[in-house]
Amino acid sequence: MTNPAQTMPGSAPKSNSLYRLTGLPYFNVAVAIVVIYVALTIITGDTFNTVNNQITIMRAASVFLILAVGQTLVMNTGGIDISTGSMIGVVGAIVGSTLQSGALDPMLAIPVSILLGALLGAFNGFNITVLGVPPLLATLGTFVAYRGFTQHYMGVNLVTNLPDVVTTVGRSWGLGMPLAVWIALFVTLVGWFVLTQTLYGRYITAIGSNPKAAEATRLNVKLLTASTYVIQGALAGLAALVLMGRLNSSSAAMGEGLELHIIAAVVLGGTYLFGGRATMVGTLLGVYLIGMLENGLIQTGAGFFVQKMILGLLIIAAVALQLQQKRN
Amino acid sequence: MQEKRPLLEVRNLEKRFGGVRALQGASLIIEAGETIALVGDNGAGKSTFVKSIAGVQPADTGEILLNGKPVSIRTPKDAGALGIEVVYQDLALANSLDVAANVFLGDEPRLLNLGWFSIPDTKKIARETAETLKRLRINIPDPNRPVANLSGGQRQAVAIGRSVRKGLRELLILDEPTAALGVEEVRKVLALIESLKESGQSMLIISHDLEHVFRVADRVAVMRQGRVIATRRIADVTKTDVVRLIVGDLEGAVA
Ligand SMILES: Nc1ncnc2c1ncn2[C@@H]1O[C@H](COP(=O)(O)OP(=O)(O)O)[C@@H](O)[C@H]1O
Ligand SMILES: [Mg+2]
Repeated sequence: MTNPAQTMPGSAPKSNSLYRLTGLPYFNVAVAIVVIYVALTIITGDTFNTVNNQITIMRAASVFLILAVGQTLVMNTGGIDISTGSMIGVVGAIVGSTLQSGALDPMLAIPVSILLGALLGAFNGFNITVLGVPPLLATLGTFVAYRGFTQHYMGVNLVTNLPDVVTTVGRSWGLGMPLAVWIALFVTLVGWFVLTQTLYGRYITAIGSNPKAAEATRLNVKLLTASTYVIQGALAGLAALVLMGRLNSSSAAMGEGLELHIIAAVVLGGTYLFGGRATMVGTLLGVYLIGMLENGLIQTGAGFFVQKMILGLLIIAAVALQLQQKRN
Repeated sequence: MQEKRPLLEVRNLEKRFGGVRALQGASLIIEAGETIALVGDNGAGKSTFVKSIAGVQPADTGEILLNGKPVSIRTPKDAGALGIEVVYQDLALANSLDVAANVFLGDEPRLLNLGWFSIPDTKKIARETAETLKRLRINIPDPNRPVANLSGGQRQAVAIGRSVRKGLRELLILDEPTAALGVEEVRKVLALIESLKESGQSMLIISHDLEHVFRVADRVAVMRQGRVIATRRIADVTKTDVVRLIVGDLEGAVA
């Protein structure tokens, strides 16, 4: 094992600031963004590098960003949640249809969505911490089950013409940007604060880096771990509302296929897939990177299936890179 | 030792794992202020003995007295409340947190108390950590780095530092504190143990290395087949004597 702390004072790395910079967990993703941004600007002529197009990217990314913030906390504990898209489906179905039928007061749409999402997340947390089901399998289970519920409940119905509260959340603008983007950025800021400035951030990092140590210091490992899934669920509820508002509709397929996108963004951002290190700045950059890639691929004429291929391979590359870094 | 007040008195611990009798009437008296080493072959019952004192795995039968009073130690929390602190072999540090965060993990002073979402008083944490390290003469050049970047000896020092942060404990138990360390590292950890000893900390140290035992311990207790078969003052024995006791090669060794 190497032992940097034992080096003599005189033999410190020569360029300390460069070392600090490249040592940042989100250094890789930041470099990738610059390189790909330049490449896409050159390839697409002038359609990629415009204010309007950048806002389009951010608007599309807003739902991903909200979810990625929760995923960052979950992954920090060493867990994973692949049921996010299906949680969005359930919230969209229930909130959407009760709004349409008038059973749900539009003023309650926001808190009810968040609460319902939190409940769905709590079920994941329960299965993982109380029953001991591994996170990947527990959330694979609800990934299927929640989607099954949504399909059963909605059938081929489409909920449309949602009340103003919902469409405002998804469609209105303020200060030069869509409200959805502001919401996502606010969630990220709160997530950053919680992760870096509160005991909660420390505790879940401790859990992810050594659950035994966390337990030995009498932290409530189970409750803390479960709470990250509850937060992820609550954010899925919020994301469902934003998505419903933007589409002004809700269907059985809402939120399908989101999960891979989010996991890729978080891992690319520098959060360890195996826990113990997380970065909200990295997550923000990771979400932008994938949004930018997707946008660029569309503009260069690559189809949806090519996008999927690239996304899948990106996850593998990001994880392989992390393992490489961890080893040395 | 100036005073020979019994600090911890362990009487006749028995512990079974199915058919295996891990402890078969293990008894030991630890005096206040002394450093006692617990040695024995693999499987002799050392870990089981310590786990029962630490409340990790309570014994089936037997008695434990602390300062002359019978105590019930059923959980690690019980042990902690009585001032019995264990530094485990696997160190129990959170690798990606820095030194100060580890030293205070789960017990942080707060600027703003909001339960889990409290804001820790990082200045106070850093200051008190520096004080603790200084008091123990632990030298860690950059305490802001994750403990994953520290050497094995420094990690051991941090783990020990955490256990005595609030001052001396009634009893500090160290499980193989010098295992898997380089020569220089061992020297530093032994120096730390010696400085704790000078400050009056009572310690029970499990070790395989008689060299180290002879350097820091006042007494040595030898376990064999679930019993403490002998205790000796270090001053009264040679390493060869202790090895004989460990392997059961000395006639009339049973105390
Ligand atoms: N959890 C357990 N389950 C079954 N047997 C155990 C367990 N822990 C210890 N033992 C057995 O008890 C005996 C004493 O073990 P241990 O206390 O670990 O000895 P030592 O630490 O001296 O090597 C051994 O025979 C060991 O196999
Ligand atoms: Mg052992």
